[in-house]
Amino acid sequence: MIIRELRPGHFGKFHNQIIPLEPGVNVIYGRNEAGKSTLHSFIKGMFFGMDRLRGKAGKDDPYMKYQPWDTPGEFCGSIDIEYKDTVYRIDRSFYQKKKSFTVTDIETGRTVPMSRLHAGDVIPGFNESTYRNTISMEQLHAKTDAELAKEVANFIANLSTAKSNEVDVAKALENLQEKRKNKMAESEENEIAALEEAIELCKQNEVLMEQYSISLRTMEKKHKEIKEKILNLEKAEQENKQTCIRHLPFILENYKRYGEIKKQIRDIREKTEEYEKKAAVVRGLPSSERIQNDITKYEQLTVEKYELEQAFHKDVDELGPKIERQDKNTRYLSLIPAAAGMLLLAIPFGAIILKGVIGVLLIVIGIYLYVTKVKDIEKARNHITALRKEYEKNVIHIQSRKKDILLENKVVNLENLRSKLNEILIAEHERSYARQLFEDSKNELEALRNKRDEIHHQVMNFMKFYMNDPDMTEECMLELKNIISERQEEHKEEKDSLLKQERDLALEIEKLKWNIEALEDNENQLIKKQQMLEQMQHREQERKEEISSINLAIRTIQNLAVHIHDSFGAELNERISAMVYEVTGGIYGDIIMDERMSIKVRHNHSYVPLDRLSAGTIEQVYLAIRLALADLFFNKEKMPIIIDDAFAYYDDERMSAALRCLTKECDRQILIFTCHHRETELLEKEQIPYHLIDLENSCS
Amino acid sequence: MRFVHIADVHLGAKPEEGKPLGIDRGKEIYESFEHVISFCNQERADLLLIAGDLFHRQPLLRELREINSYFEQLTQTKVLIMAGNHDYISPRSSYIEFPWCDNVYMFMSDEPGSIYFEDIQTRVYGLSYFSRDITTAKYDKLLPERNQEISILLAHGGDERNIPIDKEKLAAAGFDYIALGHIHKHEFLTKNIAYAGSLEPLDKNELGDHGLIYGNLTKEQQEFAFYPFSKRKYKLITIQSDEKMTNAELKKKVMECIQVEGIMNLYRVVIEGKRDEQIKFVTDELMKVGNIVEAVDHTRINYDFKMLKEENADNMIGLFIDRIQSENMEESVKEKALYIGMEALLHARD
Repeated sequence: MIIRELRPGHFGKFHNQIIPLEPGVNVIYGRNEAGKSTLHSFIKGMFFGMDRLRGKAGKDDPYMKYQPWDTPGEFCGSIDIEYKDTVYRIDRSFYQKKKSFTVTDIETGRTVPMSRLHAGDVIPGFNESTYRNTISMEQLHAKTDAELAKEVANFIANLSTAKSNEVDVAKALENLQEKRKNKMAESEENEIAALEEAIELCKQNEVLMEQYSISLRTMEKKHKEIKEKILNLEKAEQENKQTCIRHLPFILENYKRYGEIKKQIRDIREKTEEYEKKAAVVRGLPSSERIQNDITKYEQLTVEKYELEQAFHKDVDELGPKIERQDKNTRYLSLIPAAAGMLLLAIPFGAIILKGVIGVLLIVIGIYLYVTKVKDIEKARNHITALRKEYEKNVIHIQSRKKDILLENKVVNLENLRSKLNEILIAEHERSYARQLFEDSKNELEALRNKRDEIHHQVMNFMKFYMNDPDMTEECMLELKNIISERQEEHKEEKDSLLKQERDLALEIEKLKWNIEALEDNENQLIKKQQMLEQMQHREQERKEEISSINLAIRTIQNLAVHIHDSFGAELNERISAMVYEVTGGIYGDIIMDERMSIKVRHNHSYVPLDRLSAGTIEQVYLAIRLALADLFFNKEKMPIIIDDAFAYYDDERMSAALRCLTKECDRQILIFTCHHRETELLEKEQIPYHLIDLENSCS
Repeated sequence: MRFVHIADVHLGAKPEEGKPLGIDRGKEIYESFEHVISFCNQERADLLLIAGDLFHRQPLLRELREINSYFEQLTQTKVLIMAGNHDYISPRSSYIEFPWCDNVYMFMSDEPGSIYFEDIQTRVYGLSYFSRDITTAKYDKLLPERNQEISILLAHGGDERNIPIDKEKLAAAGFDYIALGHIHKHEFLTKNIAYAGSLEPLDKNELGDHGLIYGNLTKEQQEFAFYPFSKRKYKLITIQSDEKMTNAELKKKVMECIQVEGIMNLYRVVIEGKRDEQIKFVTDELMKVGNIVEAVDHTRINYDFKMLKEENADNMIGLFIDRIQSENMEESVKEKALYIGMEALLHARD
């Protein structure tokens, strides 16, 4: 195919211009901003249309770039191409709102029906992709040789695997694998497993909680029972205390008192014995009374004697004179009345009878008196004598009695008797003192005995509760104490054990309550977790789907790559190899690409890695590839090659090689867009014919 | 005899908890329940039938006390309660021996029993759940006793793990009304067998109306009607996108929709269709537009696969499209593979 003429109607800076092209090499020269890339874009646009790009690409949107400012509606152009001996005119309006595309057979003037908006109907295999792969040769961006090799390698690799030099299959796969890796990394499998475990745990906790609740109920009941038991125990204890504990010291106290009482009784008994003893002593002795009597008697006797003596003497003394006196008196005395009587009689006056009587009486009395008196005196004198005898008899009697007394008391004299009496008195005194004590104690003894019996009774009663054969003995008391303290111990132990049980239970209950409280939120958690699980599983499912989609994409791409590699790649390789051979003048031949997409070229008998070749050679290889591609895609139909500033970085040598290579293909139209003169100079130098289009000059 | 039938109140649930909506759904559920009480008083209902799952999980003692005090406000309504599979009666349940006020009756056995109300000549049958799952069809053999009285069955269940229900058997049993609970969507299975549905929607999938069923029953005539009662509804907004759709426009469309459908409600947004390659819909931002609980982007980049296939007929891209489209796999997987592969390949081209 050859492009005959370009007619940008209104395209960028071109307005109604006509640019004719020739077969072979066409050098389209223009300085920067002259419109080279515009023209290049025009060509592409004419073939494939210009759609506004959106978004990011909008900056470089060719549509916007080339749309004429003043007449946007007149955005259009046409070109003539020659294909298989037919010349076609392609007209296109780029204006978005009025897009049109027609292909007209110049000769017949008939429009060729197009089923799409590009010339693929006319030229088989012609589409944007193949255009980019073959016809439109862009700058190799490689600045260094190594980069160059790499870029070429990529080129081939892409082609071999994607059949499109632009599609880096490896990159696509990487992208997909990365996506897949990320998706897999998002996997919540672990979380799901953890959640499921947690839910299990929650469910177990629920069971646990129920068990706890049941346990709690029974425990609380038991707790109540124990507390009651303890209460009862304490009540009993109180009562017990009141009997047992309170009484025990009392009892012991009583026992002590019992002992004391017994001692007191003993003391009393001793006193009694003392008294007995003393009494015995005294009994053995004559009583002091008697002796006292005797002494008294003795003294009395002495006194008697003395008195007798005295009496006697007195009597005698008294009586004597008295008698005398009496005697006298008597006489006189008797006379008195007689005299009186007489007197009386003598008196003249008075009652004679009376006088007489009285007188007589008086005389009588007088006489009587006298007589009697004399008798009395006699008697008295006799009496004195009798007295004296009596007295003497008595004295003797007294003395003998006194002697008797002394003899009886076995003493010699009154002194001894007295001292004996003293002794006896002392003994008696002692005795009486002892008796006094004894007497005093008697009552006490009574009381003590009563008390002792009372205490005995009490203690016995008390002890009977605890022992079978109680006795008021120290051992028994000890035993009692032991028994009671044992009982107390038991009691205390029982209470302690109950208290401990109660405490333990209370602790258990607290623990249970605490556990239950801790789990209170469990149900909420369970429900929440179940919800979360559902959502997670849903997401996981989606993820799985996406991953299988990604896998499908990856698999498909891989398979296709292999397929392409095997089919097209092989053919490509062949063609490239042939082309390389041709282009390098036979120096390099086969190209092979290994599984790591690294390219080797055969040189003589060995395979040289591409990057070992010189840049120039690599360029040649690159060119060979593009040419081979062109052949492959378009089935040997020689398509034009458009080089837009592709040689910008080439040095002269490389460019020469490239030009030489290109122009060897003499039946191919080559369009070189450049802003240098280098190309033309080299072409001149190489004596390669070319057609020059100077944009600056042809711009009208 | 007038009754109000509700179910699945799920007091204590907190839907959309943690979402920055500024809405306390948990509190709103309680408020709705309070409104039911007022409604009962206002309509002078004789019975309030609560067909299970009154609570979202086993209730705490203080929660029961709260509810009990609500029930005390009823002037002439008697309340019938049963435990459902969510608030089932476990050994530690606070339902056990709870001192309800006089007008509240709760079924406390796991076998069917009945309570008779002389003044309205109505007998209510029911049981309670004592575990989360009941796989036996406990209602199948239940028959009302006498024909003179109005017989109502209060029941909870309807799937294989929560008392499977046989509609025919229930219909044939002869109850005057069967008040069902457990399914959160209200539905009249027959003229007189109905799920009241949950009082307030509890989950974003519970679209549609929620509320209570009000009934007027005599032996001769029966009228039952569903009354929408919930404060909010969940609604689904589907936005069709094309390659021109932008985030700003999306927001605008969603806002318009919400204005039309009610800003009170809760929305799920789904974006469908095609989008431009460069555009990425930021669903997080979208959710700030209103009460949006979920925003899902189901759009696909507007690849013109036909054109791409044509233009790349010979190379990897075209072949890929062809190969995927002819795969024998689920459409959804294929579609995803196609788009994701295309994205990767086109990216690898640039």
